[in-house]
Amino acid sequence: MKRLNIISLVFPLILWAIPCMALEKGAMLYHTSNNGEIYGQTDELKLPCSVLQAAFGDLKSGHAGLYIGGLRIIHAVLDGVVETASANFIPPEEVEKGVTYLGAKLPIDYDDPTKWSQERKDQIVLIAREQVGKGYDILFHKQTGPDSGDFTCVGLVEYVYEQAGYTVTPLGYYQGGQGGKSYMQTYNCESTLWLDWDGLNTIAYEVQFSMFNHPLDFCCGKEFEDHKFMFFPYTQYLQDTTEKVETDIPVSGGTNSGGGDGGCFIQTVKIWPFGPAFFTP
Amino acid sequence: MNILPVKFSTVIVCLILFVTSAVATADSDLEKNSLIAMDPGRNLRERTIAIYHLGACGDDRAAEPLLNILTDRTEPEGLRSNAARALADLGKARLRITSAFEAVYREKNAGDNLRYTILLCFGRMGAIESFALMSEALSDPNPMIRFKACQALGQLGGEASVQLLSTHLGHEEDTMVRAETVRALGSTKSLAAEKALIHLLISDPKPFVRWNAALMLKGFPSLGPEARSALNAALNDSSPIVRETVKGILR
Repeated sequence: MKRLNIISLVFPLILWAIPCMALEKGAMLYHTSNNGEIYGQTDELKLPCSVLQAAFGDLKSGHAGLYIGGLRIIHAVLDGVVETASANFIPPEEVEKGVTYLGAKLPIDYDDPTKWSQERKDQIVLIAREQVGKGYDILFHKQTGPDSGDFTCVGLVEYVYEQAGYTVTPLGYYQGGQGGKSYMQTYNCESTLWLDWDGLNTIAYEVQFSMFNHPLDFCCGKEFEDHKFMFFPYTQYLQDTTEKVETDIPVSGGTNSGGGDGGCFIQTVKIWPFGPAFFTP
Repeated sequence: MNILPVKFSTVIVCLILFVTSAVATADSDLEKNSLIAMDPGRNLRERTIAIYHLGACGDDRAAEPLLNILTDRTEPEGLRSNAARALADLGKARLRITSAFEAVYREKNAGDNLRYTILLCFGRMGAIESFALMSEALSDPNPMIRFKACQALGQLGGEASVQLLSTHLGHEEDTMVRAETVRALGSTKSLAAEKALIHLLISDPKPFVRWNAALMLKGFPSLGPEARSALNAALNDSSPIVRETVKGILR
């Protein structure tokens, strides 16, 4: 009887608390990769050299997802574009590896009803739902959609907003100089036959795509003017078209929803049938 | 004079060797990808990549391992979803694929995301043979299943789909699903769909649905007089976003 009383007291409280959670649908969520690291945050723009490192989740890409209300998110992970509980954004095993939540962001004018009507906010959710069930961009050839197999995590978020008429990160291809930063990395592992291989990696601050060089980049990345490019979550996170908002929903502690290894980007280099590929610049 | 036939035969031998080695490499790729994809001891990344390559290889024989993964209830849901997409990409053994999709969709404990993926695959494949299942999905208690079924029917297109979607609007209460039904109808760009959209633009109680009807009409290559008159009437809509969109179409 006592237990029943407690339940009857607690249950309405929970029901009352859920609608009071104020994070608006459409919020963009971000987290780091293992050990709180995310590509682009520090001056060292290092990419893993070997396929083995990459396979063990050393890409440090971080991750992005979209809050759609009702404690649900939609994000692009290894399983494809999935809808899941917000608590699955950072699964427990990733928390153990030091993955940390960066925060939630919304467009700067999101609270202006003349610009963001309820219908336009609902359209964010509708467009995101239309993408559920599509595949991940295994080779990073497109990254920002629109078809199955064309989305990375951050590319999905960008696409959804673009379809609702809002550019979070302007389209562009950063190759160094002003508007970002560059780093010369010397790769030396089995992928380079243990010879030094220099590559220029960048992070764009103002446009979507950052140029990178990698001994195995012939397979992956978006091609533009004979170079390979990636849209990194940290670039989108930096944009001043959005502002940070308080997160009052659970974003960790759930179960793994198919992302794994603390990052948006998954190792996709084909290592068979000839073994790790290599070439010299 | 005798050198030419020797050169010619060398070229032929080289060509044969090249073709044989290319076939052998393709065979060996298929075999290796199949083994990796089906090996539960491998990590999910490796298996997912192998599944992707199987779907992209265009070889009928890739259907077998992919179907094995898709129909194995002990496999993780995400891997099964990837196998479903790879099968839709492969497009071979079509009837086997669509019946396997239907069986998996009807599994008692099939995960939601796997079911959404299958519905989307039906649409991508233009799987008219699974029309009955898509129609049945419109009555599912889960609104997201109804949403994906509408989306798939829109991709499928055709008179029957338009008819079904229009009828569905008569009893669908979820605003998000209604809006997706409107978008699915609009994507068919048919005359019957245009009529349904006109009706919704004028009479649907939800501005979100009316707005999507206007957005879809905007995508039609040309509009009849009835549509133009409905758009003119919608210039006085109570919702500013509907009025704004309609103004843009009529401009």
